[in-house]
Amino acid sequence: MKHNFIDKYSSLSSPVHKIDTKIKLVSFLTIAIFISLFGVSSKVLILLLTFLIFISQLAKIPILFLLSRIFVIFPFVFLISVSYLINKQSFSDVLNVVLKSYAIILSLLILIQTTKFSDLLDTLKSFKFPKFLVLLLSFIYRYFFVLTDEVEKMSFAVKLRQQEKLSIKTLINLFGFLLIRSYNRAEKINKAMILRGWDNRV
Amino acid sequence: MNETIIEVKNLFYKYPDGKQALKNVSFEIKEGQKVALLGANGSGKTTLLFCLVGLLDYQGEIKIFGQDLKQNAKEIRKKIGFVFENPDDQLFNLTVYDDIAFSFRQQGYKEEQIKQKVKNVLEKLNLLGYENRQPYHLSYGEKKKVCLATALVNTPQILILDEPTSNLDPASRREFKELIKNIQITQIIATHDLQLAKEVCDSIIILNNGEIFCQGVISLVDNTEILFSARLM
Repeated sequence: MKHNFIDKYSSLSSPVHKIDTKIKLVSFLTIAIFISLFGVSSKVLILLLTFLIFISQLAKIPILFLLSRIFVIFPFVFLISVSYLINKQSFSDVLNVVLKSYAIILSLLILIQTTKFSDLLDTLKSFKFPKFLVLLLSFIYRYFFVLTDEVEKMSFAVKLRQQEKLSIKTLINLFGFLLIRSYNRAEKINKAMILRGWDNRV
Repeated sequence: MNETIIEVKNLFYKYPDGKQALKNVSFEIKEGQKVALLGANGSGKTTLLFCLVGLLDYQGEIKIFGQDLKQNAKEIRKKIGFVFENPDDQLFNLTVYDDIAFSFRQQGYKEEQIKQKVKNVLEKLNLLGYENRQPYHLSYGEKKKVCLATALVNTPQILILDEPTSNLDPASRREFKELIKNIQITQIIATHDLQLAKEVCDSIIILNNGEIFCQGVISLVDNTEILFSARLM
């Protein structure tokens, strides 16, 4: 199976895709840090969100795709909102937090969907981002699809041998197997790296 | 007379779970030889290959280019190219270019030199244009060729291949066979593909239950009694 759900639209061609990765990364970091650290009114956040949606359309990223991705953080935003309400914060404070969360996520989505992941990592390296973290991100991206494939195949294998719904025991076994296979794969990858000069130091 | 470049004497290896994977394995390989390493599943082929590149803590003696492997593993590995059976174990970078360039970057080469070396090996293997492709999105046959590229880019003196044609379709198998046939360096090929062994190699070592069952010239592959006894047919 071929998966590309992380940066599905990064290979498109648009004015936003053509912007230098450094500029896009700095823009995202500026938005994220500014929003997180400073009090920004909800009106400004709404304007920002409108601007980001405009940029996403310029980048030809489908709105439905963005909504589906943004929806992923909904449970966390919901929990934060509930905790705010429980602590008797005003509705406008809750709205502000929600708008901030979505603004940061939307700007991150635009960055990822308009930039090849390898270019992003190269830019992080050039910004002297910790090497270990860059390596970690590289491996996560590289093997996320491999693991997804393995999970899919394992679940197919189970479904073909079990007519009812997956039991908890089967799910636990599958998870255990996945861990073992991941560990074995990590060992082999380490061997491959050593054979090509890696000395286990970042 | 070609000199002996690989000497293995009384090699033993036991897995952490206690299973004796290799028992008293001894053989020599001369420069330029192409050796087929045959054996049933679980006979110890991959374990032997990993010992030959110093990845496992074996007992016994392995000398490569006259040097003890345990003392000089890092230097010796620079002269060996290794192709794993599963390309996803070997291709761990985000692009084909990065995977092929990896070993040079570890050695501190300048990017301009790396670019040229990568281009040369891609050209050799008909992979020009694949530089920015993601290994995950390649077909199995393409991945295998990229694995070979990562092994050849250092111009090794020994090429080790673990089941190079497994899971390849007939056309890809034929193409891969031609590629490795034309590589004129010492090769050790672990394989179940007897046809590949006959066409590419000049000698064989057959493993059975971690021991050398027999070794000799490639024509032994036609000896059905030997193959049957070694569970190769």
